[in-house]
Amino acid sequence: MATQVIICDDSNMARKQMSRALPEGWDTEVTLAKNGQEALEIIKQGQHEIMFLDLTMPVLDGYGTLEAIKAEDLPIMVIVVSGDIQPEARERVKKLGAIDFIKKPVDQEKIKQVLQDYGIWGGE
Amino acid sequence: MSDNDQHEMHWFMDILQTIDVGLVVLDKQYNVKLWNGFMENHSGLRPDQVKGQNLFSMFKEIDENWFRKKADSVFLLNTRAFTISEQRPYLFKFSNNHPITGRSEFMYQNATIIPLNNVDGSTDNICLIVYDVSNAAINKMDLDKIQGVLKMGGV
Amino acid sequence: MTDVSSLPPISLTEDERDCYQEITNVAMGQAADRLARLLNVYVVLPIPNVNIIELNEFKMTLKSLEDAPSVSAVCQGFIGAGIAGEALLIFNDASFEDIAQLLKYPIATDEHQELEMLMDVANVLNGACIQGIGGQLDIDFSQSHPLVLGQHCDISELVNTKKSHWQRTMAIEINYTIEDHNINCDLLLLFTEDSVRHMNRLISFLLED
Repeated sequence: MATQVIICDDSNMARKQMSRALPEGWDTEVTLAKNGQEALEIIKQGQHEIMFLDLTMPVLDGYGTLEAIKAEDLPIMVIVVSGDIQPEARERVKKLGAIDFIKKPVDQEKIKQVLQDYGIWGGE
Repeated sequence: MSDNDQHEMHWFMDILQTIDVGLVVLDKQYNVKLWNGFMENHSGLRPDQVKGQNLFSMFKEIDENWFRKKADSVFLLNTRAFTISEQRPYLFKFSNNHPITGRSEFMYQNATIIPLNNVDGSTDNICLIVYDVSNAAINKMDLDKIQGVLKMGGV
Repeated sequence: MTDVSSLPPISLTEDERDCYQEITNVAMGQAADRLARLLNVYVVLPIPNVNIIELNEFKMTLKSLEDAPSVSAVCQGFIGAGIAGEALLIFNDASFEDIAQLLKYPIATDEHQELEMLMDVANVLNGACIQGIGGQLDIDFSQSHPLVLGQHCDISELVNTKKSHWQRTMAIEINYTIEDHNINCDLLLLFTEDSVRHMNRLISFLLED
């Protein structure tokens, strides 16, 4: 069964780059969201397992989204994908419940590694 | 070559590539033999596009007769020659380093032409060193203008 | 150099604007990371603004800089692989003391020291951002000496000049705010029309499906 994935980023280009960077062998169904608010609505439908989340977005940014997920205990694993690579940014998102942080521009190998580390995809 | 010498050579090459002056080596036919980073950045032409090509055919803004006269003396007499922006504003028509806030559209340049000697002392190649003197040139023009105004005012 | 006056004026499609915004976003992140590590601070990073602006609008920006008593601006040219532009860093003077403290500069006793500090900071911020953009486009940009607007060149001369050699520029506006410090500055990356045409070609590969 295909893994349900959300890619949340306000930039069209970034969403495309993220989609292209997902490992080829991984069976996924991808839903795109333009900001945190859209993402939350999709998550609340209860069908998605993983979200790749940008930090800098209008309406509701990455931090706000993580806070909402934590507060409402929503069932989703979040991997933050961001250009903001400051040490404190990484710390903050981990504290807010993100399982990992991938810096932009995204590296396919790094994504594979994170997926394997957290047992999300075996790498076949 | 010792390790130290190799490091030094490498450093020199790095510096010549990134330094804020243009370096162009020309042979007796005025074909380009060397083209550094400054020249590449400002002309938009890479070394592989330029090497072996004739200077005057690539840069029509250079007055061939005038330049040849200057450079010939370097080949023959083994001495340096100079061009200044007061004579000719530029050799190569490059944009101002400050294309937005800059007061002139193009870069004012001074140049020095030096002989590159063979082992036996003869000169088959010369090096053209191009300096960006836009700031000084514009300041001088401002100064001239002010002095002109003052003179007219009878001060 | 080709005569560009006959070419149509530059404009950006939504995709192109989005692309520049994203590229800048990543570059800003890299710059902020360096600052953060260097100064042990957290830099707030809003979304950058990308716009084509006309000469007149730019002159108004310059005029407001000239009129504002406690604002300084440093400009630095950059060039590489057919792309040229300027980085204009605009500071509020109130930020000065805080910046000096953070950078552990001695308290500026005179204008010269203040200017030097201004130029150093501008160089770091500009450099990090420009290199960040260059890295994504595979271009090695080189920067020229920073100049303080109004100090090394007269703003009113720029504003009042009747003849100008450009009509339009692409302006990318980035704001840096350092949390818990009174530091806020605007970085304007300005690209020539020719550069924009060139960059649009470069990013087309990023935009294709």
